Amino acid sequence: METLDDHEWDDALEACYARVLRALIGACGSRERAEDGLQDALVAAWKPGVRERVQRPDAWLYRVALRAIRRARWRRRFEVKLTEDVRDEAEPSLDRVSALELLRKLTPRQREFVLARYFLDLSYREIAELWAVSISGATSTVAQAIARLRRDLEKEDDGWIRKSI
Amino acid sequence: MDSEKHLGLELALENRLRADLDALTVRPYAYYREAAMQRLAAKPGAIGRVFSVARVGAAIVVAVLFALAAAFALLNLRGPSPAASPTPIPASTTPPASSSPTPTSSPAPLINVAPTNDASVPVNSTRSYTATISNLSGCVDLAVVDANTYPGDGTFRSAGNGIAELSSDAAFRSVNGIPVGATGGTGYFSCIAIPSDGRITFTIDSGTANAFVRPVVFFDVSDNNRFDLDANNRPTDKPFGVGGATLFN
Repeated sequence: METLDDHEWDDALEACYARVLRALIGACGSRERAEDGLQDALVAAWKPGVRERVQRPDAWLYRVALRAIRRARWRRRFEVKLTEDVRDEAEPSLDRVSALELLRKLTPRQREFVLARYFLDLSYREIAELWAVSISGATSTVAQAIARLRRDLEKEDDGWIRKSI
Repeated sequence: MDSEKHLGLELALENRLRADLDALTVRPYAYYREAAMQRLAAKPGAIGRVFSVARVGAAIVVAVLFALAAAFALLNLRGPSPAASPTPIPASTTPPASSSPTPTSSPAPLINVAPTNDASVPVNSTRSYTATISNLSGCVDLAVVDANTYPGDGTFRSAGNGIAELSSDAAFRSVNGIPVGATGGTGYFSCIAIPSDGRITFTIDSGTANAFVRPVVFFDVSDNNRFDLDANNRPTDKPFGVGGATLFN
């Protein structure tokens, strides 16, 4: 990938930010944390020397934002404990999204990989490179997630999935 | 088929993710870009970064100092490590009560080795001894000396440097009933734990005709795996006990 100038880089980020943000919402289950993570990733994206080594801006943004979300979760662990009884009004749109219900059944790592694979269309090779795992590790994590979903869905007799298979 | 089901589920999942997540509304890119730029502008400058680095460095130094202090305290609690043993200790012996054994203060510690009479046994046969240890905790060393080097006046022959001359003509064949040194045995045992009844049994043998030896059981005061003598060739590793001489013929 040839080096992009500021304008081209901005265009590339704009083209993918919405999809990345939706994937982040799916991964962390919170719009607020997903937006925070995306902003951190955008800050990182504008640092010198970044764009030269980024092959896929969407994949890179997703990975960097997830790291930022994880760090923020660690920083806010006490705050979460203190405020967890004070229920904020949940994002109404999220509650209606059945895909998020599905994703909640998975481990964080499985969620991240499933979204990368099936929503951002990353190949297993790209996932392996971004998360510094082996290709077989990425494959098996996704396969385990699928198997887990299937087990849960078969128990729940979910209509849409039965129609699909 | 399972694989078809698997693929079907993958496709269904992909469709569901796209349908549901794509339905989420997002703010315009300019909003996030502006927020990112503000954060970028609010980042600490060169001086701030230096302070950050200094803070992290100070934290690391403090952590290292704590680790060193903890390691030092731990080492002090454990005491000095014992000297390497020249010979293995039988696996089933009880570990010593302390790594740096010390005789109890009173009454006087004592080691007796029986039998004390001289005897002859055929070459490659064994002779059994029992060391009875009292008022002593920790462990003792076992050695074999040439019987002629112990005239019975309390002195041993020195090998120089204040160390008693040991014999290699005979070897220990078992300690506390456990066979040792299946091929040739060994003439020295370091730090055999003193059992609660204070009795250590052992056997010696020799493949050398006319080997004339005595076993010595002693408390290795300096923990150097040597039977130390003073200027008059009297043991400084006390207490010690000497068994009766055995002639292999």
